Amino acid sequence: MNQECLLSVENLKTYFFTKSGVVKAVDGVTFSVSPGEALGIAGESGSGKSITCLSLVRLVPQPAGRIVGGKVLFQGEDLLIKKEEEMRELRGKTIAMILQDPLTSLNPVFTIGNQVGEVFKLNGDKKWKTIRAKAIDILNRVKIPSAEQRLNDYPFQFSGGMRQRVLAAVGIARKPKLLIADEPTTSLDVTIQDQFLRLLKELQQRTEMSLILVTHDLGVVAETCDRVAIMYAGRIVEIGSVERVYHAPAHPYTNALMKALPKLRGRTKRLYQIEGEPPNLYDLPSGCRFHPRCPMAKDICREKYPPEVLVSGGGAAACWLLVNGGNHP
Amino acid sequence: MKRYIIKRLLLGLLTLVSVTIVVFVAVRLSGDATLLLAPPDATRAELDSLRAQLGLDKPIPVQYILFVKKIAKGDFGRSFRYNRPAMQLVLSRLPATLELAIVAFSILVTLGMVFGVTSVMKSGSWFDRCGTVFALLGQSMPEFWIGIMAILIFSVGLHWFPTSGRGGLTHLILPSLTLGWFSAASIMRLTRSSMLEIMGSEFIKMARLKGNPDWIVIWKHALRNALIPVVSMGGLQLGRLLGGAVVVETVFGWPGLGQLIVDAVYTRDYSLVQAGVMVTAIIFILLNLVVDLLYGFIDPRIRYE
Amino acid sequence: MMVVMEKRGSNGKVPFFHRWRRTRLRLRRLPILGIGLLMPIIVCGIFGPAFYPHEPTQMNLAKSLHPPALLPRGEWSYFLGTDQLGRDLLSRLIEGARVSLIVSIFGVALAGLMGVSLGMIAGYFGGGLDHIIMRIVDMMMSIPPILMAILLAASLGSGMMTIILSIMVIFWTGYARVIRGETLSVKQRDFVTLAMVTGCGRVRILMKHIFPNLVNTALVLATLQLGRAIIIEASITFLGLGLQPPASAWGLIISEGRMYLSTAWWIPTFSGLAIMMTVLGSNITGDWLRNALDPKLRRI
Repeated sequence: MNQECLLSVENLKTYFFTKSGVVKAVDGVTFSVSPGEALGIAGESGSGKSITCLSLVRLVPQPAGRIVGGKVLFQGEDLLIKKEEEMRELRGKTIAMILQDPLTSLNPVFTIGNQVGEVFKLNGDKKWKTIRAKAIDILNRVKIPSAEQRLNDYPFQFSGGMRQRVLAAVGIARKPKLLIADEPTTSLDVTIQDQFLRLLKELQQRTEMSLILVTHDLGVVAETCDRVAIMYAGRIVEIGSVERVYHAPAHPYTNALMKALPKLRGRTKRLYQIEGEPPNLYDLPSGCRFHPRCPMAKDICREKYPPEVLVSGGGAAACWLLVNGGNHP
Repeated sequence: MKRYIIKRLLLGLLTLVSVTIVVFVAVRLSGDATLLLAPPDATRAELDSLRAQLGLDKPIPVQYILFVKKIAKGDFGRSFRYNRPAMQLVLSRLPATLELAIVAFSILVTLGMVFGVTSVMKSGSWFDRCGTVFALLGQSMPEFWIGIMAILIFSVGLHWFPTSGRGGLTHLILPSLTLGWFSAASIMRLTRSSMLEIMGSEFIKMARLKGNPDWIVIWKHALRNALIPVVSMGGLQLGRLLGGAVVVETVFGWPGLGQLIVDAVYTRDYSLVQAGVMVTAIIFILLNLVVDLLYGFIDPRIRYE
Repeated sequence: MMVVMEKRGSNGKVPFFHRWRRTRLRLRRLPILGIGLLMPIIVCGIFGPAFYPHEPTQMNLAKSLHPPALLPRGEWSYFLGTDQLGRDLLSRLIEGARVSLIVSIFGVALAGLMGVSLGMIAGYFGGGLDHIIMRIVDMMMSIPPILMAILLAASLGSGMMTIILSIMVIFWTGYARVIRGETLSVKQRDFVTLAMVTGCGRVRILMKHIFPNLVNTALVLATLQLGRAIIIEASITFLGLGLQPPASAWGLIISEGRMYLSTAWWIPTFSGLAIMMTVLGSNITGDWLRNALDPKLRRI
């Protein structure tokens, strides 16, 4: 464990206990984030990215969901053993999160001013004037025009992009050390996406805030993040700097993802497609979870889950092909 | 916001007009209206003069206009049984009914909402399940029976309360509880299901992510949203209350408007029935207007439509 | 988020075995309680006369106001006791079941007929017709139900037909509103557009395409309304504006029993329990039906 780490997640496991079986949404996830760093978590729907984030702040949907194991060390302290009141202290103040859909994430019956102001109230500000001033200030910082007039407007009177900015404002208002953004651009138009990502990057760099950006869009990760973790079926299959992972992917899944990205240059006859379907989370494949779809699968892939191995160039990946030079039955 | 208020007022007015039409039509449904509006022992001559007076020999639209003109002045004819103007009688009995309805409404609103929210907070516990059972039972029993059973148990059996009549607090408790019971059950169920649905929303997650304590999440963020359908149903419940008052007043011998109307139907004192129904409907429309305005206040999306 | 994944064959279809298992699972959650409560009532309603221990109208003044069996002076043959004219309470209750059920079912069915038709027309044709129909609905809903029944009873006299008419007038508005909303949303669906494009006549579209999608909702509404209809019927009869003595309607029995509250508590108690059983059964079944067929109606 790196002493410089802001956040260190070790073997986190979050399961959902339903009538139809146990869903191992997050099944042994390990990663770390340094101060001021932007980590991307990428993967398909159902890979466990969102639940990982919710587990970090201990807001996993109950009663079905439960964090069943692992450690989440934030500034040296394990969040999973803290009391709920202590967690509440952290939320919003030290660790903040932006949710995916800006329309449903804002309370429809309260004004934006009320909802942004609430954050400052939680911070301890009591005077209405101070709160109002701070709200205007933060809305300006996320580049919302005519912030002062818009304080009295309701969420439905804002456009999607604006709403997302409001969420960002709420997220950074108390200057958290870590901001988690769960698919913040998924519901936005492409042009708005770009603007928003730049805003996030700017805010992050200005305040030395760490950022965890969850998305299924590899382009977004490339734009915004320093490092990336690729998730599949509840586990991280590869992790490393964005450059290394994108140029020299070590895991077959990552490799396939990169190949599947349409390229602007050169002629492609057919888009590459990963064979098979995403796994059924109630009934995961044995051994390496990607093996049914992996073009290079060997017998051992079917039997045992591969260990995480360091990759030349930085980072790690979990694949039998990387162990012992790939010499396996 | 102003547009919304004006729209609501106009709608209320329109409904008022419709009620007059309904009452107007109802009288003439059975043929000769004079027979209904005159005392049973009226002579031929008296009937004829009444007919002319009411303009019943004129075409229907004219009759209607005459009718509305009279109502606007408050003239609903005379109750032949009490030999006083119908309106006067109705107004004299109104306070008693209002007293009952207001107390019942306050009870049902408080009980219903409080239990609804608490059930959600303790979702799944015995409290929740008991509450659901109570609510289900409450919606399955007719008011008059609840009233009679209440009298049986608490008045005749336990002698805690008087059996009938209007008076002080003790006289008020049983009737108002009986009246409000059914509606309290409906409101409780709706509050509960509405809250449950809201609690799963993203913005509730967001409220938690900001670091809000649980009680603020529930009572500030969730409740106001959950109340939207409840307020809307509240309007319907008011109607039930006004209707139910009729029955409850009969059971408890409460000297209110409801009992007056029912008696009037027995004795074929139709002018009284007309007056009573109109006044009740007017009150209902006014109350609904208040509910509508409240609705607009709670949900800003409605205001800006 | 997490979706139950069904085993799908290579052609994407869910194999028969799994479909069958799913249906069985759904049926297992049948509302035993609801049906258990309703069944006796319905059986009494249909086969009533077969079950009378005595003739409901048979008076026997010698046995007037006898308590139910198991209490002093009670007899097994007059299981629930007798009323003030010596009539067996149980028989009267059984007879009352017929009355209540006939009136409520007819009333709700007629209300349904009227409400569904008008709702469909309003939703489908829209425009001025929609406005007019909805204004009429608003108008009718602005008069509290019992008051409406009283008004009708005052104009038309009391009796079975008046009650059925009252129920119809009171409940059709509920159908109309909901069905109109449903029609509006079904109207937008692609298969309706397709039918219109292929030149189907409007009436045909209504009956063949739109109506079948409304049946579920209408059915659920009907079961939910049945309970309320029974309560209204009982209330009207209790007030003396419905069936008249010597009929054996539940509301009437309770109203007659009021005078003997302190001496013969069983008269109003058991008749009220009968009403409660029926309404409870109907509510529980209605809730289950709604959850199974059309959860959108939760708000009703």
